[in-house]
Amino acid sequence: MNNGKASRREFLKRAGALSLSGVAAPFALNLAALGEAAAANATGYKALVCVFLYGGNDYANTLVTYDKPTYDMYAVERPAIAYARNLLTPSVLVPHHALPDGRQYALAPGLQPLLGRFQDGKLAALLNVGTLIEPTTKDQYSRGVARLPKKLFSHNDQQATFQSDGPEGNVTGWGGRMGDLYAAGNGNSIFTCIGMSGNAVFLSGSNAIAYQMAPAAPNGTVPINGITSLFGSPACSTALKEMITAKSTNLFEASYTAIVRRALTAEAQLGVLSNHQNHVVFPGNNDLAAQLSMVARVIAARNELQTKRQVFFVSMGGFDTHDGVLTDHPVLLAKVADAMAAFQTELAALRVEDQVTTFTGSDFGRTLNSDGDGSDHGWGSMHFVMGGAVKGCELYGKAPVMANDGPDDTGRGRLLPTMSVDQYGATLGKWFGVSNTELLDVFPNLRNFDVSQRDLGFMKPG
Amino acid sequence: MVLAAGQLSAETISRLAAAIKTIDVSTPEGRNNRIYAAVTLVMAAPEYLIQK
Repeated sequence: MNNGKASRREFLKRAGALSLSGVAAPFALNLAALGEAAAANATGYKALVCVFLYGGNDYANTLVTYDKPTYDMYAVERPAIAYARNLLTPSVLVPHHALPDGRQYALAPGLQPLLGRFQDGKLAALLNVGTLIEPTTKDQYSRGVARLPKKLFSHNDQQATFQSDGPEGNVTGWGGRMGDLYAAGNGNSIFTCIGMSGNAVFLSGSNAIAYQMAPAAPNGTVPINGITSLFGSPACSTALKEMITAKSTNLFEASYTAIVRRALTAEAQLGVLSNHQNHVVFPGNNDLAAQLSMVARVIAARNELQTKRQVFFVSMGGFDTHDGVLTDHPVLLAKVADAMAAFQTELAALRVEDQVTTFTGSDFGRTLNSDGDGSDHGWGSMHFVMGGAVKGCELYGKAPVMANDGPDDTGRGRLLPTMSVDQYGATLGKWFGVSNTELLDVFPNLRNFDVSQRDLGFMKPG
Repeated sequence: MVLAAGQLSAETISRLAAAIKTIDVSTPEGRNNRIYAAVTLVMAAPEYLIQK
């Protein structure tokens, strides 16, 4: 076993150094590593679900500062796009432990469906999470002495950095890297890392493959129709199937046909999903809800699919709100909240609320101060963690001073993160069952943070 | 075979030809289906898809 672990670690390192694929691949890869890692000696079932908000979510209008002094600063910094304070009153968060200095936050009105989850202890908010190499102060940042993530404020690079710990080009993501740890322990490793919205580096591991499903298709899979019927000729459909699954001495052909074989096998196995329809009605006209409804069906079929640890990736675009923060952004948030609330209700019906943890991610936060009716690319942001294993009804981290070039921002209210994505992921990974040693492989920058700071404390003991 | 630029093996060609010949050639629809099936099969062939 020790040898196996050592070689896997080596493999992870080498794969990390190679860096071939696209942006989302690293995060996905990392996630994949998570899945495989955890399944190693896994008992019971656990799943992580990453909800990625592509474009860079506007933090200031997601978790809105509510106490009067800071609300006033918020309103001054973004006059055209601030929520009126009375609109926020119904969704003020009352955490078990109040923030110092009378700081208060409210959910944006569109996130109202999640208010009950928060107050019921199933949802927590993290104040100011972002990509970091090491703990970084404003002074270090200003003097240029801190090691910083490459290409801050750039969409594709920060998506990749959030998902994989490296800029665009990284090949494994932390979901995939966890998947690497667990795939061997899953009876059926193909279903360790599952994406519902196309390729994302988050789910790609060194060994773990990000399996892509199509939420709109029956059972989440799109069949190759030609292998069952081709212009009325059984001989032709048989020939097609044999040809696209045949072994070959050519490496590319062999790789291609291996993928086809794997896809056909997976599609057949996912036929069991027809026995697992949702218990709740997921909201319509909501792509994120469709993705999460399919995730719930896969989780429901966990025994038939022989999976003990799974990492899922769902996503939604449109968050690059350089304009329309007060018109477009609320619509997006409402979809997120509706989808996540329905998902949690479904998980409760499946009696797996304590075994599935859902968390948000995004390229970056945005500026506090407005640019017309929008906001520009930023850095740190607020994120949510949801599930029965979350120590909910709490706000984690330090509430940033609302300012333009104040102590907690790098100018224009671009938050300097106080919690790194590595710490965020490691806290989830620890709950998932990843060992402290393995976490250092999955999250390469984690070692730069003091041992006592690596677990952000928002999860109950695994 | 123009489609595949000569990359289909003789074995594949004879395999596909045998399958296509099972389609009835006595009707216009059948003759069309032979063409459709031939194009589909050639374009789905790994030997065609992988450029060398």
